Amino acid sequence: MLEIRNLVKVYPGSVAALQGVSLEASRGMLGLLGPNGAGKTTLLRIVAGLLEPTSGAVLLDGEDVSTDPRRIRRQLGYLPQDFGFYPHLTGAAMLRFLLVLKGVRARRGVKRLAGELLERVNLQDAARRKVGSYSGGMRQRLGIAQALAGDPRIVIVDEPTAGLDPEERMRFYRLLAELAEDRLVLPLRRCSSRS
Amino acid sequence: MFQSILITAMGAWFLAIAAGLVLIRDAEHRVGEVLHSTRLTAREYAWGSFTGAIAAFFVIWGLFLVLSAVFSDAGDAATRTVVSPGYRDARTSVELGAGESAGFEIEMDFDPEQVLVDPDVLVLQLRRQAAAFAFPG
Repeated sequence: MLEIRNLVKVYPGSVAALQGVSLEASRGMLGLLGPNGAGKTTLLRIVAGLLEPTSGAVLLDGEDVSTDPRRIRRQLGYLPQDFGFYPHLTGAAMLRFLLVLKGVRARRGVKRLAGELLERVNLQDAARRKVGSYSGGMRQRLGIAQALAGDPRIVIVDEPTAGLDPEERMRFYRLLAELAEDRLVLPLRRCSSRS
Repeated sequence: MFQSILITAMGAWFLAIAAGLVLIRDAEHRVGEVLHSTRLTAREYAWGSFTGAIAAFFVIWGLFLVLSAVFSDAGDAATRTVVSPGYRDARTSVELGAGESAGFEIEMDFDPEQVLVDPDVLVLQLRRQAAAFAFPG
């Protein structure tokens, strides 16, 4: 179970991104919706162990993740809002590299797993193409593939459908819904304050 | 000594730049966020980049040494002076001041064909022919 207790994050210059956020979730899809500057990305980066809170705590199964960020990273799939890949690597090679860094163990080998993940995000035909030649949507799908690697218990996706065409969006939302059946999925979506 | 320190310092400087460029490249390609969401810690990331740069440096250096040795040997073989199998020599040295003269002996167990005197660099350059004495007959 993921538990967030009274989380506060104040950036230098007294900018308070989070002011006492608390929530509990164990499985299912928990969407974070808000306008620019609402603190969504800050919250998710703290949950992912990439940022330290000013005060408060993030607990995974009752254990503070700040004491051992690696613990949550082993169980976390994270798709950042702003990310990139090495352009000189092929999609398959880049994914294999990230699988190794994540410490993902595959019974039938990392290469096979990378192939399956690429198939899951409909990138199997571009697996041998260099990432530098990918379109924005293809890079996004590669990012999704690496987030799904290792069967994570928590999947955090920051603006996951940015750059995807409508068909790919629907495919990805179906994938997220499928994942949310037995794990916690935290999609983050930007919206205007009027909507 | 000073030369060795200078070369080591320059090597370390280039190595530090190479390691730093890896981090800059990652920032330019925006891969940092994805890498840091893996099990990789900041310390492992920085040391890994540095170790990678050192490893690349040693691979290039090793290749340079191997190729230098190979091509140096080939060059030596091509330009080596061939010495006659029966060649033998014996040497002695005499230190003279300006205007001084002295007799000397060279011990040898063979009959010499030629005596060569190497007085100093100036004579070697200007009067090289005068430094050679061939035995008559």
